[in-house]
Amino acid sequence: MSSTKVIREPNNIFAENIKPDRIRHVVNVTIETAKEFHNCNHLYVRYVVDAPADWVLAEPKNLHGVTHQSRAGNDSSNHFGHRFTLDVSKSWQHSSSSETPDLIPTPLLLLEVYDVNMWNRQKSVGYGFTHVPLTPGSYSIAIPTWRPYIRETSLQLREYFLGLAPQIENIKYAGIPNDNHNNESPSVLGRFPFGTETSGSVQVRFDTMIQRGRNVLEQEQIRASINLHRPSATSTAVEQVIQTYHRAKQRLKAAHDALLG
Amino acid sequence: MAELHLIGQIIGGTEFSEKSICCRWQLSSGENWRVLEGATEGQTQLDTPQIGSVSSWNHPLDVHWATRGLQGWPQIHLQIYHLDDYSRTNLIGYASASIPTRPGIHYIDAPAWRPLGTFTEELMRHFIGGGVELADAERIQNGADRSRLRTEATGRVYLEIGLVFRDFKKFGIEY
Repeated sequence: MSSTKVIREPNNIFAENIKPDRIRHVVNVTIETAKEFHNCNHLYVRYVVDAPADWVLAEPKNLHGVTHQSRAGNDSSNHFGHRFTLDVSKSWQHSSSSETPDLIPTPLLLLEVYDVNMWNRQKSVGYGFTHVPLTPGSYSIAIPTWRPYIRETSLQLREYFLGLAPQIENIKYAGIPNDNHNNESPSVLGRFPFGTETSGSVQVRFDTMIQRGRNVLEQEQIRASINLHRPSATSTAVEQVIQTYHRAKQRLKAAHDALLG
Repeated sequence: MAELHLIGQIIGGTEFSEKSICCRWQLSSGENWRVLEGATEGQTQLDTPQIGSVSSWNHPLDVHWATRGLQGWPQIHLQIYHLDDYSRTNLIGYASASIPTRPGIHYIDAPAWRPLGTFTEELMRHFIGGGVELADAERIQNGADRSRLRTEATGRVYLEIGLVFRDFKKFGIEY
C-alpha cells in the first residue's frame, strides 16, 4: 500500500459560513426503490419539493425532477437509486416565550409515479407525499401512494384499453393545497367525495444535517440549560432577563460596529 | 476544514441472476471535498455464490476527506459485472448510494439497475451476451437528467459504512 502524504492545513477554512441569525438544513434525499405497483411495466417517479415561501433555497433547480424508468426485476421492485440534495436556509426568529416554540411549516416532498406502456403512453399510477425531516439524522421512509378510483364502467374500459386514467392537475393536491397555508384562518382540509384506490409504495431515504449561525447557537444553549430544570415562574423570569441582556448586548455591538465601520 | 473518515466494506451483492460477479466502485464528491488519504476507486474480486444468491466481496474501504462545505456530500458508485463461462465480461448493474451524514456504523443497500436496449439488442444479449452500457456512467450516476433512460432492476449491493466526523461542530453543523 503506497503511503500518501497527509497535507495539514489551518483548521479555520470553511467556505460555507452562515450568517449569525440563520439556520440551514442540508438534506440528501435518495429515492431508492418502488414496489407493489401491480400490472405496471416501466415506472418512473416525478418529484416536487413544496417549500413554504420564507425558505431560501440554494439551488432551486433541485426542487423538482424525474428519475429514470425502471422495469421490475427478480424481487419485483423497481430500482432507482436517485439522489438529490436540498439546501434550504431560513432566518430564525426568536420567540419571546420559550415554553412553546413556534411550529415551523416544513417542506413537503410530493411524488407522482408514472407507468410507461408499450406504446410509450404515460399514465400516472400513484401520488404520495411526506414531510422532509428537518431534525438531523438518517430516515428511511416508505411512502404509500394512492391513485384516483374510477367508478364508471366506460371510463374503466377506457383505462384498460387506451391507458387513459384521470390525473391530478396540480401535484400539490397530494400534499397540502396552497390555500391552507395562511395561519390567519386555517381551514379544515376536506377531500371527502374524492375516491381513491391504494397503489404501491416508494422507499425514500433522507440524510439531514443542520448548520446554525452563531446567534442561533447561543439561544439554543441558553434554552437547553434553562430547560434542564423544571420550568417555573422564576426560571422563566430569569430567562427573560437573560434574553433582554443578550438583546441589549447585540444592540451595543451593532452600534459599536456602526461607529467603527 | 472539517474532516470525514470512511472506514467500511463492500459486503457483497444479492439477487443478481448471474453467478460469478465482481464490482468496480468509485467514491465521488463535490468541489469542496479533497481526498487526503485512501483510494477512491477499485475493483473487487470475482465471487460465485454457493448458498442462495448472496455473493461476498468483503472489499475494504478506507478514505479520509477534508471539506470546506456541505455541498457535494460523497456518494459511492458501483458497476457490477458478470464473467461468463467464455470469459466475457457483461455489465449487469449500476448502483449508487449516498454516504450517510451521521457518525457511526451504517448498513446500506444500494439497488442496482441495468440499461435496456431495443428488442433486437436484448435478443442478442440473451444469446451471445454483451448488452448496452452507459457511455458516460459517471455523469449519469452523479445526477444528470436521466428521465429518458430505460432500465431494468437487477439486484442489490450491501455496504457497511463506518464514519468518523471531525471539526464539523466548530462551524455550527449538527448531525
